[in-house]
Amino acid sequence: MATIQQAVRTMLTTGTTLSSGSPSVPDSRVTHGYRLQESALPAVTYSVDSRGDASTSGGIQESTITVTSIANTSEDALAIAAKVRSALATGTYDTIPIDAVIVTNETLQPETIGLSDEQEPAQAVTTATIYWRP
Amino acid sequence: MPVTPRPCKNCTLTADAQAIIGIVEASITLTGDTIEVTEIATVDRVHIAGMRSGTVSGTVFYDQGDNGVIKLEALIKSGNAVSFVFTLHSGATYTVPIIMTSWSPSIAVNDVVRASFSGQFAGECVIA
Repeated sequence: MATIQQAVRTMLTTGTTLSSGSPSVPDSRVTHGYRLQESALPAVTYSVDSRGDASTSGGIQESTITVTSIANTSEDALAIAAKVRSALATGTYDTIPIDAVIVTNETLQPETIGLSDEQEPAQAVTTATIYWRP
Repeated sequence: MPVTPRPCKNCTLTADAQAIIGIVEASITLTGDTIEVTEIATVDRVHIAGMRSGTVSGTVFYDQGDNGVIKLEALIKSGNAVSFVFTLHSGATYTVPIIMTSWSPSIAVNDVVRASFSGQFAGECVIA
């Protein structure tokens, strides 16, 4: 049986919303929880932060998800975050119906460069509330 | 015998035999009036039981394609009294004829569409 984590990944990778155009995030760079530090950019990580009953009957679930768009520049991170907004769409993914998706917040952590040539990539963090049925 | 906490996820509500699903919260309130029968020269006020009544209310996810929502919308327009059955847990039901008195779909930023409803008892509430 599919999990909501699998379903969210399928939602993000369905079609070519993230992988087409520039900046492009191939499906293989959409990962749950984390990415390896030296892995290629841009990339997207996501997590399902909560799950709870949303109704007393009918089995409707409410979850908060966080999607982090990671790129070398803020401009690219924001461009990917805009694609993420498009990818966060209602539908049935891995047999799990996601009935409502509400983007509730988006923040940007700009790239930082240290005193040497070290760099931390930019991260655009998108938070959404989803309603779904197991 | 110890009290057994019952999870709300096993509760159900039907209106005119139509299951209302997508319930965010719901309640049923039974009220009883009292009649004062204090006599002159007594110190303590005395009351006896008077008329009984009650109300129901709740909030549901709004979806006009859902049969439960369709039923509630029809009831607020018709004004007909129909049987509401609250099942609080297995074998515990409150059954009462209800006239819908309000129906209020609402929207809010960063939320899904919900609708609240309320109704007035139109007769006896049977607790079984």
